[in-house]
Amino acid sequence: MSGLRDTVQTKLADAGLQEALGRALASSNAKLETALSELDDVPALKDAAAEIRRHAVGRMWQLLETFEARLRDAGTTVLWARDATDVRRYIAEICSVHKVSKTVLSKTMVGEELGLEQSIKDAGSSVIQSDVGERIIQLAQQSPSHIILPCIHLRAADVGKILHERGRMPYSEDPAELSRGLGKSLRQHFLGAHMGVSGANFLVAETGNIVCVENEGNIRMGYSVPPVHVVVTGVEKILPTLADARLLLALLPRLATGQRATCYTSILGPAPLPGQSRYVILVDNGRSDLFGAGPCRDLLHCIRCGACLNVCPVYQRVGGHAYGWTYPGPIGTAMASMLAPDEAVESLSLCTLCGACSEVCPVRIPLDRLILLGRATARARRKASEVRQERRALRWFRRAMSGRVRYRMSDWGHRLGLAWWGGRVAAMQEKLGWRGERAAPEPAPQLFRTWWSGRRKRGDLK
Amino acid sequence: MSDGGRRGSREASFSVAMHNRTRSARAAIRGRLDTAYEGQRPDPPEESYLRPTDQPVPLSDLERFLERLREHQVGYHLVAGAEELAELMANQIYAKRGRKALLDNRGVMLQCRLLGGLRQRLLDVIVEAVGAGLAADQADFGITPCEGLIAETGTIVLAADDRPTLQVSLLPGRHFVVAREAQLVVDLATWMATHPGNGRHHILLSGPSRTADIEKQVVIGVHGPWKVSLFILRDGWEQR
Amino acid sequence: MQASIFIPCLIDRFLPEIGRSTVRLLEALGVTVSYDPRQTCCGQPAFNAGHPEEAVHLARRMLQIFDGEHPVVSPSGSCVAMVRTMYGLLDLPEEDLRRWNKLRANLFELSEFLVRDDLIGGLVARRQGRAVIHHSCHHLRHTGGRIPLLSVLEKVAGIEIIESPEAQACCGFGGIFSAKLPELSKAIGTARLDAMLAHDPDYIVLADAGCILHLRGLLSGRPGNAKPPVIHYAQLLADPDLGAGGTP
Ligand code: SF4
Repeated sequence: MSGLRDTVQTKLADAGLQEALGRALASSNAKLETALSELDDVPALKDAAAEIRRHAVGRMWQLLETFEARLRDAGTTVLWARDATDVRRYIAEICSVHKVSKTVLSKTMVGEELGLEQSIKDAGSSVIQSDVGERIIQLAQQSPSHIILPCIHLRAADVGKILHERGRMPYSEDPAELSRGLGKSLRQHFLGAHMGVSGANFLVAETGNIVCVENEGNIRMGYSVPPVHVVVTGVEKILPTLADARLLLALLPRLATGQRATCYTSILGPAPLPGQSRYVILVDNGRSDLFGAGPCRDLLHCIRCGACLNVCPVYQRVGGHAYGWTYPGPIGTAMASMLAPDEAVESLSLCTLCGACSEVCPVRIPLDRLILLGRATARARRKASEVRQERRALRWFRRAMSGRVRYRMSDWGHRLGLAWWGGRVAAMQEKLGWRGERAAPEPAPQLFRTWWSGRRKRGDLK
Repeated sequence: MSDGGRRGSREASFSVAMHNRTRSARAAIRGRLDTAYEGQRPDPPEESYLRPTDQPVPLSDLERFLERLREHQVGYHLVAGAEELAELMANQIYAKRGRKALLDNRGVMLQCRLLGGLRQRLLDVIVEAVGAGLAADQADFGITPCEGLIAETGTIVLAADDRPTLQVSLLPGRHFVVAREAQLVVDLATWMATHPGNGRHHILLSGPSRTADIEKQVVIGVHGPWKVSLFILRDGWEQR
Repeated sequence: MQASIFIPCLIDRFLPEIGRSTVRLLEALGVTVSYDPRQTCCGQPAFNAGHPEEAVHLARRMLQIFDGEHPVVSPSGSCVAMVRTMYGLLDLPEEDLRRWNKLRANLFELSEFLVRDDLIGGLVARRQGRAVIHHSCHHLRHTGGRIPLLSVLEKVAGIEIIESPEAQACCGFGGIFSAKLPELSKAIGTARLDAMLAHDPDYIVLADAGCILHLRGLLSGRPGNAKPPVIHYAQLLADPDLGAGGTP
């Protein structure tokens, strides 16, 4: 039995996880429906959004140069990072130049990807995750299981336990009490922080704006209070103009949380605030690989709304941790097949190819097709014996399907096999899960083609 | 020039190794991304995205805006003039046992002399303008003007140019916003068309701080204010 | 009108009643049906498992067999999607690409074909009871089958059609997925089945063969006797073995 199959079984047997996911995702998807029903012409809006992203990503470099120039002229330091090592060095340098020993970090998936929390710690600063969900994850010493709802895999009672044991808060099962309690304890961290670190949703080339979307206010805290503000963001977040951002802002909150607008959308100007130093770290970390990867470039269009996770029948059952990579769900699987092929080898199986992800995606990324492409490329990394076995079966199948006579023979073979080697067939069916609670299909007494030719002979054709 | 001076001094302390690193990273990234792209730049649609017929009887922009505010749990008051504004606001602060109120005293706030009006009515409450010494995290009320109101999404646009001002709308538990009815526009596109970015920091505010991180249950009031109230001065308020 | 039918391997072997119903339905509407017995499989299983080079052989075969002028009709949205969309991702030689472009425009999923030019116009079928719909994913998303399916089912008098919001959620079959992660596949399917059975239906109506085998398997693995048949929509209109009713 493969490792993934074990993992999946553990997840299915985890009643707490099933309860937490079931509740949260039902609510997410219901809200999504309502939020979209308010829009005039969703397909047209998605077409426009996809076009905007395709265009922006296509001429990413030119736009990034403009963006960099705007920021530089306004006094913001722009740093370029190829990978996590570059980011690490910059963080170390910034912390030492500004004598940073207390940092508040807003939830950022790029940060997760780079191990940002650890980099800041290594630079000699304490670091507090300031988003409620992310703070819970930090206290629980886990990793987020969703790109916008980090602790979706936990029930309120689980959170209560974690906060009680590690966060020194009175035990509670009330989300309101827990969230507000965390908010209160985080307040002092904001006030004492030397540095706020956050991600970004969009970078606007023409005007040098940085757009951050949130509901809690922790991102606002991160740039409004500490004397040093660092933005760590992927190069693909670039957009030509603020009007483009505006269009995407009509979709992003609706898809992400079912809101028509989030509570706070910060549109930061290119200049740092008076008395504050601002650094913007533009991160590649594999994005340029996707840029040059044919149809996979579409993955760079992603605006990280998380809707593809919420609608995925597999994600709904196994949660984010089963995927074994920073980004879970359909977008994660598709990206991993390009960026972390070793991790993706198994998770590529976590897909029924139902296409719900591609259907919901606001920028029309053909996720299911990219996952299919990923399956083909991942083959080289799978266990050779397994691939060989699969291949042998498929080659046999292909041959059986390659001619009328062979097709007939394979059918007889199938029937004879069932009759003579019942035991072996049963064992095989058992292994593949087509037995017992899901009965295997029996070959029909008469093939369609037999019926057709019989009918023809009898002459009851019109 | 002061800007350049500050930047210079900071960059001087940023080590040569880091400069080299970012320069070579930049070149590497450029080498991989800098390709010609032939596609046409798409024109984003300029009109509103919302279904125009979402109400049986079309609502006016103001009605629609107010409905959105209710949905977003933002309180609002329509006031006729400066006196009524100060009176109403003072009453609210008094009723909630406010101790300290911090004002971002600009624009409309000056025009209607709100600072004086509140002080006059709230003798035992500290009412200060930003920069006069009251720290935002000490205040229980933050009072700010705004840059625009957007009907489509029930959004209030805030603007600020420095950290102390930004904090007025963020750190106190209650946030009062003063707006003029004339600031209401139908959608974000219209607002952006009439307000060129000019490099300021803007915040599109569409409700009190909230989270739904635990079991997707909405909880109001996490880091930012748990209560937002909008005071809208009706057209013709200057005459009252 | 003439049409050639594509009856995929799964239907030919395990669910021939779908093929028969398709023929009956088309003939009742005055279509002259032809069937090329060389046809077998479109190559989907290999492609979905990540073996495109195996799929290419079968794809080329498919393209050569269906190189005629008549429209090709198939009761499987999944196989139609394979040909229409996924063949584009295969490494096909020039002459087959030409054939593909022709077939792509000429190949229709059954319900799609029926509503095209209102072919189904005056047809009336008759059944009794309640039918719960489950939208098979590829039929729904790749061939845009929701509206065609509903319009076809409208032609069945005497039946109550139930389409709940979760009707568009995957049943967990997923081809090779069902054998690679069977526990997960079954868990997803069981939940869908529970939701459908809660409506106490007389029929569970689907639009694709794979999901039918999966849900039938799960249903027959359950205890109890009174189980509604899990059928293809073509059967609801034109399968005489389904009891009284069907196309007159
Ligand atoms: S791939 Fe599409 S749906 Fe998924 S997170 Fe990205 S933008 Fe959202």
